[in-house]
Amino acid sequence: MVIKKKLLEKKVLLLFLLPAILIILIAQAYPLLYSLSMSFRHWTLAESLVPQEFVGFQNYIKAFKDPIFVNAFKISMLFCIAATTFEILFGFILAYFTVGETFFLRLSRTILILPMVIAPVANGTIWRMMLNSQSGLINQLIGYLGIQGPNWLGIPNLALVSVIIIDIWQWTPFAVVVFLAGLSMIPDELYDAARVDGAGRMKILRYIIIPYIFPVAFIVLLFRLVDTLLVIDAIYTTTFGGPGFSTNVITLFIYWQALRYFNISYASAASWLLSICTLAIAFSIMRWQNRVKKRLWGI
Amino acid sequence: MKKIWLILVVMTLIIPVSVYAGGKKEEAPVAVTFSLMAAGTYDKAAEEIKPQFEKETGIQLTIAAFPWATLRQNNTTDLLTGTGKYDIMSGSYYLADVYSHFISLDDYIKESGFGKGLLSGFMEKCEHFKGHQIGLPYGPDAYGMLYRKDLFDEAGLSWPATWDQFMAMLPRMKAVADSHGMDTIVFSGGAPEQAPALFFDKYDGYFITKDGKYQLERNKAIEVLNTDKELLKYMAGDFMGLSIDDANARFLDGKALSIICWPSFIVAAADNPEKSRVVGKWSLGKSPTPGRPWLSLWQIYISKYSKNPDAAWKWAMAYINEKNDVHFFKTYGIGPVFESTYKNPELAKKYSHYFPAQSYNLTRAVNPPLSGESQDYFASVLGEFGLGKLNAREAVDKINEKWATLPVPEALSENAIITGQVE
Repeated sequence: MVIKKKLLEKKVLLLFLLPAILIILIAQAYPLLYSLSMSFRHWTLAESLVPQEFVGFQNYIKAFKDPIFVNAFKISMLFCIAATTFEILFGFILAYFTVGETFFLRLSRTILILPMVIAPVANGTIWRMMLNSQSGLINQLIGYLGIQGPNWLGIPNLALVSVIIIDIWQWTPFAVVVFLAGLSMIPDELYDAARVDGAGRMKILRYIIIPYIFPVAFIVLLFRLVDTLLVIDAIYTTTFGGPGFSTNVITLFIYWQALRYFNISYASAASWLLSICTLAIAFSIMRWQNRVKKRLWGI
Repeated sequence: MKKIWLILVVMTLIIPVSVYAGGKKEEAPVAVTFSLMAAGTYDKAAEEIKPQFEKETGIQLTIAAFPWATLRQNNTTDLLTGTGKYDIMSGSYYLADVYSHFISLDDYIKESGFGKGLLSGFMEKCEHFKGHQIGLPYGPDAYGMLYRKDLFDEAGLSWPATWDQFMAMLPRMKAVADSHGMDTIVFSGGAPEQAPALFFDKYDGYFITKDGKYQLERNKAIEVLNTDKELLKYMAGDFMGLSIDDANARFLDGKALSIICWPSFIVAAADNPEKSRVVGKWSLGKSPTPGRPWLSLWQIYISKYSKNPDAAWKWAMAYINEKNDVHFFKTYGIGPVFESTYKNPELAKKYSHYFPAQSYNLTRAVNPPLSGESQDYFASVLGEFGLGKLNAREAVDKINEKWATLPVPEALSENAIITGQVE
């Protein structure tokens, strides 16, 4: 009787969930599957309004052979690794020094979070002006030291560094917020016990804080790696992929293929390659997180 | 009960008839929408003449102005989806992929006689599709070089007729620039899409082979890039970081002896004492030979999905005519497209430093027959060349290798034949 009742309850619950599941299927699964099917066809919007013949893996093979795609992939990876590393590092440092409840610390935190609430396009435009080699604020400040500032957006490597800096500036606050939440969850008793045992600031950091915030760090790592792989706004507004191909990331490549050249099927294939790569990274991080958890906490 | 039924039947008959009759009485006015670039010039000019046009024709006009990238996106999406939101569109050869969605203007042109008095060759330079003209020209510009005529005269330099002469003169130009503490040449190298300008103005080879493939004429292209390499040595040291506005500002500030630019972006400011330190000191040079300067030719197209193509044509005629050509140039600085404007005595005198070279450059300038993808790739490789990452030979081979895989849109191929850019 009890089992029957529970089953009925489950069925009713499932019935209530059905509309939501349907919406998710229609809104997310259908476009995804449609784009997947498009990636195996030939379709250039300028030639035809409807998808053309089945071409198998041709679009995927084309992507692997396309030096622009391969280069864009490399740049995306470089961008992703560099930006995420510094965001986690700076995010933790800033959170560590601004955790607390005094007025000054709260004010500092509020100011630190501000870049995150600026629209990425506006952020890119502001930075483009600041990095202007002639009239930009950055070079003016450098000029006060008697040094001539470099051409930030005109030299390939510096342009890439510049867009990484922009991302770090905008998204370090996200890491700060998450790390602050992690730090405030550490029980005060642990600090007290450590101090009683004679632990100094560095030992507390090494043996209490870092192990405790490791799960939180994984969240930041996961979100930022995925997000930096999908970056487009800041690059679109500052360098537009240039000079040359030096900041041409994969999302910009997909945007160009789909919306400038109307190569829908090729853009779909490139998007799927990016998605697979993003998923692989996400799963690897989650597996790594489980391993670390086991080692640290035995769970 | 019967009465109620009778009333209901009568009502159901009366209501639709009265609605129909009412609808007939107030016929909706003919309405068209014009999409164009929000530049503070073309759009303002359209806004200015809109009330008069609506009053005279009874046609309701909506002006939809967008920044360039948005305009391109909106126009192409509208055409590819067959929405028909925009009856009249403003664009250029970058719309080649969607030319099949525009109507042929041949009959309208024949009936109205449009085209008489335009700058030489401009009807041919307008876009064609399957032998039919689909675009009407307005607001043309040709990439060119403004230079400090006062300093040239002072140094006994005269504007060269050929690139060889120009290159030979560069050391003397540099000496003049150095003595005045200014850059010899400025160029917006920081705007990646502008990079091809330096190539186009020296290249007179083909872009499309006999068998319809994109290709640069290798030897000529290498020669041009080697010339450009030499030319780059005389550019401002930071030219790769300069936007169009930065480069223009430097010339306007009197900090550059010459500038390679779109003249229409700078001429109005250069003659305005409030915005320029070079008023009365500059001149536009006639583009040296060989080569064909890059043409920017805005055109008006009528969408195949327009419900009112006749009204759309009327608007096109109201916007592009000899009277407005003068007025728009005087008021908004929009490049004239009619010969008569360049010969207008008042304007010819006032713009003697600009008009002769501009009309000459415009008649020589052409649109390269490049699709968006081929031109973007071309520009990026030239960017790498400009940064010294590739030599001339490597750059040309890299471009040709990629171009061999890209399709040539039929419409561009057709225009390339008309403008002599096919092998």
